Amino acid sequence: MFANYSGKYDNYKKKTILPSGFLGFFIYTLVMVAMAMVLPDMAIDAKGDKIIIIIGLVAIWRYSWGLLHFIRSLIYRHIVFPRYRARVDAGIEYLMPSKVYLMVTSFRINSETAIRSFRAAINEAVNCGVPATVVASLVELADERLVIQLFKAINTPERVKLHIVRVPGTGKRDGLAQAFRAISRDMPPDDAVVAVIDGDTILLDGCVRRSVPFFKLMPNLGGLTTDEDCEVKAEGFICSWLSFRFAQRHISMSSWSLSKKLSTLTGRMSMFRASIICSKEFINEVEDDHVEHWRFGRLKFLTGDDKSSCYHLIKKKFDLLYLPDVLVKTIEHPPSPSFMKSSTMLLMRWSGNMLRTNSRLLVLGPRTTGFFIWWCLLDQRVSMWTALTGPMFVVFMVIKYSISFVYIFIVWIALTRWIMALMLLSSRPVLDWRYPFAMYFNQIYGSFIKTFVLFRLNIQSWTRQKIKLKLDKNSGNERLTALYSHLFHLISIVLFILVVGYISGFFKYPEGIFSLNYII
Amino acid sequence: MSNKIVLDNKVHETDSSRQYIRLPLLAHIEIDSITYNISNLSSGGLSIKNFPKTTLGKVINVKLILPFNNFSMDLNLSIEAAHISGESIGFKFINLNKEKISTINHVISSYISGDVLKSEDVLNIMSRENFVNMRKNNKSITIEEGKKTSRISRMLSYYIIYAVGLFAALFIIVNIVESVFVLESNYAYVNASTITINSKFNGVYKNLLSKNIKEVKKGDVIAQVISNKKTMYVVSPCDCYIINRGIRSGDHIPKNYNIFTLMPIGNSLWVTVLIKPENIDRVNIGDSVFITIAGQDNKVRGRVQSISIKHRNGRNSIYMYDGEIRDAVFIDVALSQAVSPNFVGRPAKALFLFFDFIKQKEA
Repeated sequence: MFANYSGKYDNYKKKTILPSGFLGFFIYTLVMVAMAMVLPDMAIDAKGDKIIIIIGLVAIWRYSWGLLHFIRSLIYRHIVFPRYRARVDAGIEYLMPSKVYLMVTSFRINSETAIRSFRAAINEAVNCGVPATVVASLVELADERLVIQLFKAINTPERVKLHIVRVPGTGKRDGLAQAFRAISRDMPPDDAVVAVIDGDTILLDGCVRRSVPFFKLMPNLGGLTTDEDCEVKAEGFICSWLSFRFAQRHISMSSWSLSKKLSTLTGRMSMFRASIICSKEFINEVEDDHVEHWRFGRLKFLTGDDKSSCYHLIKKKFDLLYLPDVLVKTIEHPPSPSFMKSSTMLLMRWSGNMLRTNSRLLVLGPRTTGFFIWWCLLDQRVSMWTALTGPMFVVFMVIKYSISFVYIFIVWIALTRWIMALMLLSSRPVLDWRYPFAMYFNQIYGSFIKTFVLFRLNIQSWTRQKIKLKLDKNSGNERLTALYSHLFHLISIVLFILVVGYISGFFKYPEGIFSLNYII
Repeated sequence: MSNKIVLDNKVHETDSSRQYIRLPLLAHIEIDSITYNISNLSSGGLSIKNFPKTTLGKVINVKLILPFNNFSMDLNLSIEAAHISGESIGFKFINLNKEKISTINHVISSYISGDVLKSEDVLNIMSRENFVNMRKNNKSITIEEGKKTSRISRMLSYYIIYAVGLFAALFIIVNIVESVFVLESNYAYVNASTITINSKFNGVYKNLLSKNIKEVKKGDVIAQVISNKKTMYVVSPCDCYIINRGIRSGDHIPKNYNIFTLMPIGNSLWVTVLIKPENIDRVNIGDSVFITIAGQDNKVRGRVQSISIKHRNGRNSIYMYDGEIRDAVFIDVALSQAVSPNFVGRPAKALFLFFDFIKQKEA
């Protein structure tokens, strides 16, 4: 019989009534309550009202948006998706495709991780029960030898094949494109499904068999992705931060999927119809994706292949789906031992991918993307600024009135993040006391990074290969471009400070200065 | 190779930098009785962390020890320092014979497969080995020029952005300058020396002046207060302006009720300005002030005449302004031009300008 799906969230080993990390979170709650009990009088004073009202208007918008996503994700995971799953389970033999391709890309991945990843992919190819081909897109001979040895070590039936594609190390997009072409040359049947898997992703038991039937169930489905959990090869705060991000992803993706659209088809593991994968247009889009930027000219994308594939499918009006009950495990190797360096590099890459593709999705319009998705995309551009309004208001209040506002703000943030951490319980059975800090760090520092990257979309780098898109810094044109980037960034910061200051009453029409004409 | 495995090479081996699988096996090397743990082992070499400083190309004779459950395998090898990266040094095996290559390969294969390694098993694995280094690609990837928007529209966009940015920056700077050099009053009103006439007893008020009359002469009878037993005649004590007469004829008024507020003709008006006590150090006697009176478009200049933290009539210094109860500093400002007596009591706004050149000019 086929493997039953199990082992979801194996990271959380303790099986107790209380969620994992409850004690730490309880202590956090006590500290927060204690802080709230010693709030200065100003917190309930007239001036305190001002800060809460002003921040509150922005906060109401932000928090109501978060609440909307939360409610939508609950509806999707508990009402809508179970119906899909029931239909799949009832007719699974009929809904299985005639062939499955598991395409794994690997470059300079730690050998242990690569072994686990390929072994899992090969095992899934065996367990899915239909003809399957594992397509390994590789750069180095070492990886080729590893994959061949693994394949030989596992007793695979005749219907499971291994296809190795060796490509030059010019980037993941090229590797994907070559592998897609290799699949295309294999002339897959119309109903075949291709899973695109990163070399540091481990498919858990039953992942393929529980995912591929959706393509026959939904004729307009173009691609799908699944839930992810991470195993971080590091210690410290980065583990909590990544864990929080995946928990939040689970909620966001579920919310988006209710509209049968997604913001990205995660490169770690996504599935597509083979007919889409093999289309020349799709392959070209993945291999040679670019945008025309009014300042930078043609911006060729190096990273963000997941965004390119998602854009293509949305443009072609395919449906996209998120499977909340199918889990893959990703092995995270932070690019640096330092949390700040790692998070900065990762945030810059993720933000850059998002910002480079976000605008063209907006241009498609709400008729193509759906109104809610289009609004989410717009919110992505706005939220980087609204997230910074709170701290900015506090700065003005401190200058104008009293430093006590810092304390009031800290308590407010502690409370709101406490609530949001509780909401994450619906995503993961974890109550980590570090989640509120990870949330706020993600929000504020992430916003700083986004505003920085927004004006420097031409800077792209891979984190694993430590290669950057080299700009010829000696060229006068490039130096001028960089200067303009700094200048526009500075102007945007000034405008932001002005708008926030004006709304908070810190800045006003300078009547006094204009009175000088009475003297001069 | 089985027909289940397809090789689809799009690259020559010389373009690959790593040809051997690297594994974190629990092995170590021994040099002159000193043991160093290996961080990675492959068929082509090994890497060690925290190895004493060495130079690239240096050849070292070592004993490679591969420990297993029931036995260990020692191999005498020569290694050459191939690259140094941070704390880690990579060594490549040199002058390995086929037997040692096969042994290392067998250990690695078994590790990958998860097989139990038997000491008597030796697997002869053929591998393609290529000692040509990867060609370095010194070309930088340049951004394609592609299509750019026309130069004119781009420059126009730049100028608009600069203009907006400049305006925003100036606005902020001016606000900062104003916060340093300008002080705005929290509250102000037009004040004057007045005479109040109050009723001496309860009674009915009767007005003896027409509505249009604003000035009275000394001795004019201007109103009556009539009770059951007596009549009070209100007589103007001076040549005065009528500031306030808020009662209608026929109204019943109590004792000590304010019937009239009069201002003697010839008395000047001034403006009383309230500021927060923390700003008291910024204001001095003689400072220039610019007053805007409610209902007037133009500003009136004035000078600070007096500064006090208590009200003139000795009342408590706690006053309300901006809807809050706070202490206040009272500043009397003499106006440089005459203001109509009709403005007595009207709210105003005062601006103190602390620029040095103003003070010099005033001086």
